[in-house]
Amino acid sequence: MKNIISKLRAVPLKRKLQVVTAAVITIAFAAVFQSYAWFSEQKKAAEMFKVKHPDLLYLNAAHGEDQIYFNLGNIDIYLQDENGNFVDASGNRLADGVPPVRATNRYVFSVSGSNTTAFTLQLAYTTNNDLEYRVYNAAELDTEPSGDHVDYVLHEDDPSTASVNEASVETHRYYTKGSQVSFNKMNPDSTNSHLALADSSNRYYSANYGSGSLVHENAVPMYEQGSVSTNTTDEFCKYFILEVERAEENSNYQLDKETDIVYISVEKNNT
Amino acid sequence: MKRFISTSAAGSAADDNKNRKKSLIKFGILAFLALLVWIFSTIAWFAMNDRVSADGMNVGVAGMPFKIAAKGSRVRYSDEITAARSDFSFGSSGSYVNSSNVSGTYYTDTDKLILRFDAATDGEVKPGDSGVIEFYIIPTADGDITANISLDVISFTGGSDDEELTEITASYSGTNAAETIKAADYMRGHIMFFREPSSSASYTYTGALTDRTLPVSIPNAVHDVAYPVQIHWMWPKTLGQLALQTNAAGLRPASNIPVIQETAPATVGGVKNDKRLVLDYLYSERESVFKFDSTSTYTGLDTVIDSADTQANFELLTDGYNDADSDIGTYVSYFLIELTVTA
Repeated sequence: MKNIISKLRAVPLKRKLQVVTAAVITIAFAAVFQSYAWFSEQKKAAEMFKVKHPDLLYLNAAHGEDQIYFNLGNIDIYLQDENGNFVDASGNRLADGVPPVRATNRYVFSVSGSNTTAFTLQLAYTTNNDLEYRVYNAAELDTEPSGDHVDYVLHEDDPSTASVNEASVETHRYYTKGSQVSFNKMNPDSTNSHLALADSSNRYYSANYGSGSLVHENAVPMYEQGSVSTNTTDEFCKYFILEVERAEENSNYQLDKETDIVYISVEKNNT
Repeated sequence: MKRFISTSAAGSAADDNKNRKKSLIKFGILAFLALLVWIFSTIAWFAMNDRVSADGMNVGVAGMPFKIAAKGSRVRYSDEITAARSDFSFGSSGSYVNSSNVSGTYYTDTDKLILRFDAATDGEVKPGDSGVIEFYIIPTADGDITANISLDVISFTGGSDDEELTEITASYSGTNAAETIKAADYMRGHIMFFREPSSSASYTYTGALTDRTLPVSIPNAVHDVAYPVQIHWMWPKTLGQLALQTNAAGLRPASNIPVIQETAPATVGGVKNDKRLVLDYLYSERESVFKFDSTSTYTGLDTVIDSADTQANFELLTDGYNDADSDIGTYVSYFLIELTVTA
């Protein structure tokens, strides 16, 4: 012990200072650690939530193909053969004086998406040719059914059916007509149901033309809306057949007009 | 000769012993100092763990003067939260009274608590949804209580049958990693916190907690009484609810009631009103609130935000807000609101 004391005495001042400094720093560090521990004391609480998948809604051609393939092309007003003669439903030429038979044009489109329990299907069309538009629910089939159906040739490669000689293989889908989707006419002219209401107080009219009144009556779009339920919050794909046919004979309409516009739009219903 | 050698050998052995003793003493002192340091730091380490002081080791660290508790019949996404946070627990149930002296069952006695609620279903959260995070402070002694709560929103991906629930951290490396990490950021930016719930039909929340902290003070708290703390959260549906000062331009549908009071942003006596707070938040957190393809869009966004009722500004901001929402829905499957309570 004596030895140690004498040894300590023998330590030069510089060394002593170093030792004292080291000790102070050590104690300070220890104190800091303890205070830090005190400061860092905390309690935590948490609650978990699930994020809903975004609401999606797509409007496509048949089989979910791109919209570009929804092609109305030429709409036939009456049944005609390739030579332009009026024919009946069986393709037999009509006798002179027999009124022509109206043609029914059918086109398939699809609405798909997710998290949509119901959506509103809207048709907006001009009334140039007095065409009548009807929408039916449709079912898609891989094999051709014996009954009435719409034949659709796929444009996009289907890997499940693609063969070596792809160019010569046409993949078909067949659509059969189901129940008709009921539409409400949003802006019919009450005196002439074939025309849209051109009243400036009507929001459908004023949304398009403001207070302008010099709009041709057949260019004012007619809006029809129908609600379709998907009965699921999961992904879905529903097919529809759009039937286009000339409305009942109407003396107001001539057959020399060429253009009509029909818009199909879908909106998710708030549920 | 032989003897000399042996004598000399004996002498060197004595020297060796001396040296050995010297170094032993040196080593001993060093070891002792090291032990001291080790003990101090170990105490500090133990002190960080609340259970040690609870066990009565009396290391002299003052614990928090309260416990936190949860109340309610159900835990939201119980399986997912236990998978996401294995160090959290449901706590143990006990009977406590509230400040009106009504007794009830509370879940407490854990420092990492899973909160509870009473609604019938879990429900999935989407833009436009809102809710309340509720927990209780139960003092362990009489006296004033002050605490600070910081709020965080942590996002997860997966959690379905074929995909494991994974926290989206900055180092997340799953599929679409960059988009997913960014979506977690949008999630944090789009969940907003408020102190007070809707107080009238004309606007919804007051007391925007845009810095995601909430100071809590309970004067004259009584021990073993459960004091509720509520934090209201909202995922605003449209930007118009947040950014417009009024709906004069008609940019917001009538049913989209504003998130906060419709007023001009103002700072009175150094205190910002809610509109100023939220607009400042939209700017300071702009990269977490809006998704723009070009990074240059973010610069100078404050003037755009301040005059959001200009059609062009509104459209730009709305697109950014909705695109961010869409990314959240696509890449984030769950999110956790985590509260850190410090004394």
